[in-house]
Amino acid sequence: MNVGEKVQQDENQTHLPLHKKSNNLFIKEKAVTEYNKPDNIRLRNLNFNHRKYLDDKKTKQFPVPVNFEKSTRCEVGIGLEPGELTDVNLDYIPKSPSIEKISGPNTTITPKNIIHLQSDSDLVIEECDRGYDCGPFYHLYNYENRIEPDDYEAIIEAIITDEIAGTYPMFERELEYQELKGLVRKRDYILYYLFSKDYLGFFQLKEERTFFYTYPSIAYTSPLRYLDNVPENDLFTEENDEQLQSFDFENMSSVRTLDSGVWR
Amino acid sequence: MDVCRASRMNRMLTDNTRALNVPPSLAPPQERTIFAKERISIPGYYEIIQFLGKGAYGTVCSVKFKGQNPPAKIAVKKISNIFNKEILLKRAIRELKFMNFFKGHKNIVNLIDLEIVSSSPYDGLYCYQELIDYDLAKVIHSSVQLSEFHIKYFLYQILCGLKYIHSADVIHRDLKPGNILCTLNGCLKICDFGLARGIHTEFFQCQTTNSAVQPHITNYVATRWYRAPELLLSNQPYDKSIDIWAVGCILAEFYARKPVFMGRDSMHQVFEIIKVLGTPEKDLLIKFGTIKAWNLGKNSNNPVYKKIPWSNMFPFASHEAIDLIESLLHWDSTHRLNVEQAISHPFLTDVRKPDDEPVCLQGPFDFTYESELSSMSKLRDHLIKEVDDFKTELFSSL
Repeated sequence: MNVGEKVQQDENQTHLPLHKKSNNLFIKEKAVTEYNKPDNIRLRNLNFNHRKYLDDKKTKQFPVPVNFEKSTRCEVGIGLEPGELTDVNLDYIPKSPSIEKISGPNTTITPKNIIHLQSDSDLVIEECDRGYDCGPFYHLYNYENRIEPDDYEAIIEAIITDEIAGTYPMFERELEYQELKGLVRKRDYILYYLFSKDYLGFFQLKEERTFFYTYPSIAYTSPLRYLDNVPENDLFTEENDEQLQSFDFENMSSVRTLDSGVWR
Repeated sequence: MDVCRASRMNRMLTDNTRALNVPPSLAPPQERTIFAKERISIPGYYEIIQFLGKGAYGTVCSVKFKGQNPPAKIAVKKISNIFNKEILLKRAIRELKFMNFFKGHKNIVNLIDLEIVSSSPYDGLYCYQELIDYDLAKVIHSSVQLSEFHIKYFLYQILCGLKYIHSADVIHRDLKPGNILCTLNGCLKICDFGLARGIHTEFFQCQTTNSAVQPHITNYVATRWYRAPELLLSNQPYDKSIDIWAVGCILAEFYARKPVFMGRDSMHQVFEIIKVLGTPEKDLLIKFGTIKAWNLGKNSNNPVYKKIPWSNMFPFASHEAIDLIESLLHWDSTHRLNVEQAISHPFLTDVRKPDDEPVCLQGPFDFTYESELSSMSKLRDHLIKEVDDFKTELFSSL
């Protein structure tokens, strides 16, 4: 039994009972000694069969395939003698295979066969790389208020209208505030005022609420916030598709001018 | 902060969950499929196909019924961390109510099942709905060539869905390509009822007597690019025609392959509209009744713009398409077509199936429930009741 075989045997026998351990150690030591000799690099019998196949392939001569026939496409489409050069057509836009697939054979088009995205799903350029999402909470962003902060006339009008009707906008987290108010204890007040620890988030909310009811301009113009004040762990993806889209289109908008007035 | 708050809240939530009186027959089966890595637990008759991603406030994965071949793909969204947040609870209730109310229409996204799981770490609200791969924004802004027939077929589906919604006296208020899902075979489904609103006058009267909720509609408004001029320039009440404006924007976007009015802020948005539709008439500006509207008029320093014919902008569009865009994108909301008139427009004659344009038979959407939600515990109870009612209805129909 040569050293290689012994080592292989040793590797395969690691599960042997303990009483054979000393013997195995001896063999291992011997293997390490043998390994240090340059002629004994192999630890196991490696499978070099594929090399043999490659070596055979190297020696074998393959004829180079040569096709002297002109393709019909060349004759019809280009109609040039070989070696004749023309100007490069920079305006050339290769025909999109997608167009053929979509517009398809010129048969009667019915709503059922008009779109075959199933087999051509790669036609949709923008793959969903931000992770799939669906409702509820499909799109989250802060809904703008119809009255803008600098629209003083609208704010005053709204204040007067509400004054007559005896109403006032409600703080959007009013119910949350009322609930926390019931949960907050003396300990929370002490922790907040002595150590600035607001474990329940009550004091921050209280501040926001006071701000809301003190300044009518805020009460009448504040957006509906789904994104603000949300810890990142709670909200996995902050999606504002308007912002996403604007990246692509703001550049394009310069193309459209009043002079041309035509979208290409 | 959150841990402390969550523990106190969880106690309350558990109490609420206990209040849910689920009959034994309707109780969820004992066997459950667990996807431990993403902390998802679903009934045993479902099989998870793949994890799809982390969306807003939840994790989404695709599932199918065990043994079903070919599998009907279902998207499951597990929503967590919403039970302590007022605006999220309100939105969840609103969205589920609308999805439940409109379920069954082929052009509105369908809710398949609902479930609240209370055992940690799988706790959360589970929403099961049809899995739809794309939205219309992706299709419009892709390189896919859209023939006019595609556009007709897409628009027809949007209008069919909107007809159903409007027939229940509901305004969607946030219609845009990103909120219209597109299946692989080109079927469109309106989704995202986060800003939708019932407007039936009878229910407003009920609320007024209750005096808990303001009788007017909230001032929060939809995505700016699809926002109607009356929302931008007036402070007066609006109606279903704001959705029609959005549909007009979508129709024009089909041809332009990008949004037609891309304002950076609300006044820029108005000027983007003016550049195309021209400066509005004096009478209309008076009707809007605001100084900012009046300042746009011919007496102001602003330049006066003439209307650019849509046919100049989209020379490749048919006369019918141009006429329909014209009728939908009108400064004056009273001059816009309503949804039924839009469906009857000659542009859609080729694709129309008049027998398959249902209206909502349940009548107008009742939104008086809003006046009952006067505390956080009531909000939670209502969400649980909504899930309970959904399940009861689901099992009774089996």
